[in-house]
Amino acid sequence: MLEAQKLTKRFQDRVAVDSLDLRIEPGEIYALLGPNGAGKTTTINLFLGFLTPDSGAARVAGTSVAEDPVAARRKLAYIPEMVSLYPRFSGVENLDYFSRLGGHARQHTELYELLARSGLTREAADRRVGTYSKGMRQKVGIALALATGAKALLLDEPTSGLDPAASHEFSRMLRKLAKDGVAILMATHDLFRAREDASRIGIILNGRLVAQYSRDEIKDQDLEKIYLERLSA
Amino acid sequence: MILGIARKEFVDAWRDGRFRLGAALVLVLLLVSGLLARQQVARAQGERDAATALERKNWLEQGDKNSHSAGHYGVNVFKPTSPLAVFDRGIEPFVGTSVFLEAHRQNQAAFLPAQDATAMRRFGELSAAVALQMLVPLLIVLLAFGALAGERESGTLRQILSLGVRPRQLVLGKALGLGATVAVLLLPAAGVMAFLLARAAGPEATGLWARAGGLALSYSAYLAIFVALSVAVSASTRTSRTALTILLSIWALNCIVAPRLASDVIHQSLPTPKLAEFEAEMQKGVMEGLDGHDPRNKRLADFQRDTLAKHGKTRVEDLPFNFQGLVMLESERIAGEVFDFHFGKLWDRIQAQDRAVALAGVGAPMLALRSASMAFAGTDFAHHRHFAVSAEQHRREFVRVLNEDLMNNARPGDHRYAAGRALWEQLPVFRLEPLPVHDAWGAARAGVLVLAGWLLAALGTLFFSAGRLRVVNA
Amino acid sequence: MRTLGLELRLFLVERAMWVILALFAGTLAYGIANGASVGLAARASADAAEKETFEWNRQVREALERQALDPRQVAGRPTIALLPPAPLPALAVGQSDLLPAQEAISLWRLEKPSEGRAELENPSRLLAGRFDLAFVLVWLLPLFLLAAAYDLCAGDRESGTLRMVLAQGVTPWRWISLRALARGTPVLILAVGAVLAAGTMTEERGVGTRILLAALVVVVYGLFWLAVAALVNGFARSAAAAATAAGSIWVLFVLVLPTLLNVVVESLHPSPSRAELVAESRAAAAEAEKRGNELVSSFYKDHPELAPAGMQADMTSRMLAVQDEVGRAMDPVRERFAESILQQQRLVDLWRFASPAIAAHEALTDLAGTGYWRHRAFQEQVTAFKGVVHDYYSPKFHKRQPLTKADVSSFPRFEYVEEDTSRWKTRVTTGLIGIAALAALAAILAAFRLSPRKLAA
Repeated sequence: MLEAQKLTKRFQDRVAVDSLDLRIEPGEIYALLGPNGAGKTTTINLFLGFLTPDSGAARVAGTSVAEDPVAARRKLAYIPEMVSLYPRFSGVENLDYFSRLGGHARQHTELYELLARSGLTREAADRRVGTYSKGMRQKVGIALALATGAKALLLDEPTSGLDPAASHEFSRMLRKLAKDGVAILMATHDLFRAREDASRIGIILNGRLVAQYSRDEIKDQDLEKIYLERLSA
Repeated sequence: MILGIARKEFVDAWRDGRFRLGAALVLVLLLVSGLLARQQVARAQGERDAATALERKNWLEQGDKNSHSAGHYGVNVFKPTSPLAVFDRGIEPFVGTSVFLEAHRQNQAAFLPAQDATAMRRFGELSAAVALQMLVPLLIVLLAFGALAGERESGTLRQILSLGVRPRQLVLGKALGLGATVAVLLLPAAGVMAFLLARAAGPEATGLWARAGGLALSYSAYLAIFVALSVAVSASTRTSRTALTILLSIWALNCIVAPRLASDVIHQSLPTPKLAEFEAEMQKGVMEGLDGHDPRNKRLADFQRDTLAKHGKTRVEDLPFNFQGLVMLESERIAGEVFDFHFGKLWDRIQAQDRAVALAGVGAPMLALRSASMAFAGTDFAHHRHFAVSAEQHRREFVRVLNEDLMNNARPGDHRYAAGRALWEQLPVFRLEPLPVHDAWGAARAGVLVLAGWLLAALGTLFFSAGRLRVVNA
Repeated sequence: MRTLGLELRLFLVERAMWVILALFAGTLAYGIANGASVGLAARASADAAEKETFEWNRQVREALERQALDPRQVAGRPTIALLPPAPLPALAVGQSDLLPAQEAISLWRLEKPSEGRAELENPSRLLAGRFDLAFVLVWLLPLFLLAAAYDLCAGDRESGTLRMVLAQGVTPWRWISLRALARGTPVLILAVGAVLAAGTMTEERGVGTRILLAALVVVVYGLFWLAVAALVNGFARSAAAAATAAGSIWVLFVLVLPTLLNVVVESLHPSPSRAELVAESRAAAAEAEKRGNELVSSFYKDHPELAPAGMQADMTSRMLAVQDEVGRAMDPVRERFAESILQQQRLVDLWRFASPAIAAHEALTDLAGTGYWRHRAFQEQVTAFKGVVHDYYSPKFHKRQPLTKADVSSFPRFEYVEEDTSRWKTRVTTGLIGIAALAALAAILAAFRLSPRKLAA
């Protein structure tokens, strides 16, 4: 569903992503682990087509991002670290607007229902977003992914700054989406969440994927130890 | 998709308290200035009507006198105000309001309203036109500078584009939404204008509507230019702060610096003649002929010889009419040619300067708009010239009637001849025919063309700015 | 002081600031050059008028050396009343492009409404106004100051550095006012330099006080705008918000309030109607004309000492008597006319403190000698001079006295008397105090707003 082939991006003389090969199938949650500046966000930007790769290709459900970024974007949903919404609009108005932009205009009752499924009460959905907490914004992001029926989901540090309860609820939603067949790429440095949620974990360092582990491989191991060893290697 | 974006932009703007405040202020200024201007224009017109009536009375009751003396007594005519001066007073405060019509001389319009006002006039007029030329563009800039740069900063741009929206759709939708916001803001003001126009019925009414149409087109184009440019700049800059700096600079250059700069630079290269030189040349023209080789004395002597020959007489006393009257007619004709030449040259120069300023609108659209706006409102120099020319035609007709009376009714050598009220009544009151709409469009042409060019360029820039839209500053 | 130096250095390492300073210097230079050329033109036209007058006087003197003259031969020729060029023309063009600096005064036209000899000018240019130094100082100086100083701490607040700075125990008011001064000083130095440069472009002597006061007006006006910048930074949560607010305040003070005041003045004290004045004076003339002979005989009854032998009025004495009668009828009308214009200006004088831009502009044109008051003084003296011309010739005509060589020294001559120094000084200092008060008010508000508690919130 999400596929990267020898994906490479340079900024001036620095290589941000270095011939990255990646393949994420429907139903998978892939956690891309790495320190700040390792190339996680650049990878996501390349999948979104916000940056053009210097070589290699990114594909979403077979569509090359570089060739047709708009068609590729139509197939995915994106939830950044901080879901940005229009503060003068309510949650449901934001969802309405964004899902229309994504080409999925929906009835108001449907929108409320999607927000409810993401954990937002009707009362909260009618409030202006200027008053929302970070967790509530993430819920609107999830609802948007539901509304557009995205086949792939890109997450950029989705849980950083969330309190444990909100973080837990967010994970629950993610797993549900994966169960429904969505392919999920999650850039994070939250080891705990990666271990809990991911079906596969990749460790990225200076733009290179230095190691990959399946859920089973790390089941009984100390992820933090492996991660720190990899970084110092 | 574009309409959806435009709709959101529209709703978002109206939910912004600061925009509502600015919009309310602009609207109040527009309406207040319109109402006060209406009151002032009506008062000025009332004063001029009263003065015209009094002058007519003076003229009719001047008593019996030689018809040529009546020519010297003369009459003052007053410039009527243009109905659309309520919207844009243009150069009205800076041109004379009355012309003294007398024998032998073509006088300039005298008494500039600004001369009888305080120096505050020089800060400019608060008219609906000025509010639309300067304040509404500022409102547009403040509304639009963050249109895309601000969304990039807040992160919503990533989200919107991640949904598969094309940058071009986004940019056009934004511009459309902002344009609709401004249009709705101005709707009440336009309604009031239309209401006032509708009440100003009469023979001029159709012309007024055509002029109002020209105004509406020019101002819409001008504001659209600002919307397109603001969105384009916002799409092309890295931060909203940079966008704001650039747009405010453009605004200040266009609205504050350009009018004075263009006018000063153009007058340096196309100077207006000095008054003393102008008068001396005209005097010389009257005395020595336009080419300087045709002295007036000689021409009049030739004229006397030819007239005598034509009637087969040797003495002017034997002519069947008062020769003095004929000489007056002839010398008015000679002087008329000189006046036409020199005033024509002066007015052509002033209009050339005005046209150059309108064309300088290539650098600052407000210059082009101002020119078009004054032309449509009937408050530019072309309209003033129309008044001056009409007044002069009236003078010539009026002096001709008086001199013909002298020629036909006064016996030669009769210094006690006096005409009376019957003759005075034959001379009509001066009435200014409004300049045809066609000519108003002609006067506005340079400005309108420059605005059209700007609009195309601005829309082109808007279109291409989508290609420069970067989500990630790299 | 060391902080000030440091802030100044910080400011000057930014390339954008050099661009601002260079642009400002350019506009100042262009403004001076433009105003100076207007001053030169005024000088040239004054010289021409003086030459013309001198030449005519010489001819009359020479003719009188030869023989006595009928006063009609001399009185018919207009005398030019001349307002000498302004003391500091390069500072402000003011009203000098609109109001005449010359009036032709002829005995026969004393009661005709004066038309004034203003230069031929394109009305659009009068409408646009000149790009003179006063324009640069009143309109553009604030823009350049705000461009240099709009972001005193709003940007730091946006990025979060402000909280760190405040955590250092800095007094924000002191820190921000130093910052404002450091950023404003280079701009103000250029502005003051321009005023001094404009001051050198005059042949007038003793203009030191005027130059000094002009520089003071500019500095105080500049301080007002720096205080506005500080105040704005007390509220704005981002650099863009600060720029927006500063720009809006500029529009309010420089564009909206002056034009609003203009409209209010026009509505409260409408300009009197020139059209009606013209028509009324013609009506008065017609009336007097009809009673011409009657007027002359009653005049001679009142002034037997002027009556010619045989009490016979000739054309000339009749004309004079009619003209006197028109004057009697029109004087109250004209006084009302002048009074209502004065009312307008008094209202402006009172309300100029609504915007420092108005006060500064009035002060600068007053100092340049191109403002309302100097032109008004000229008009008043012209009116008085018409009386002098009348009183000089009138007895001579009535008594049919010829002009002789002895009369040369007592010919009416117009000599403009400059307004008493204390009067313009009072006006300018009042304006200056007003601007300073507004600046202080803005500064106090800013100081109140720039408390650490309010800033960190």
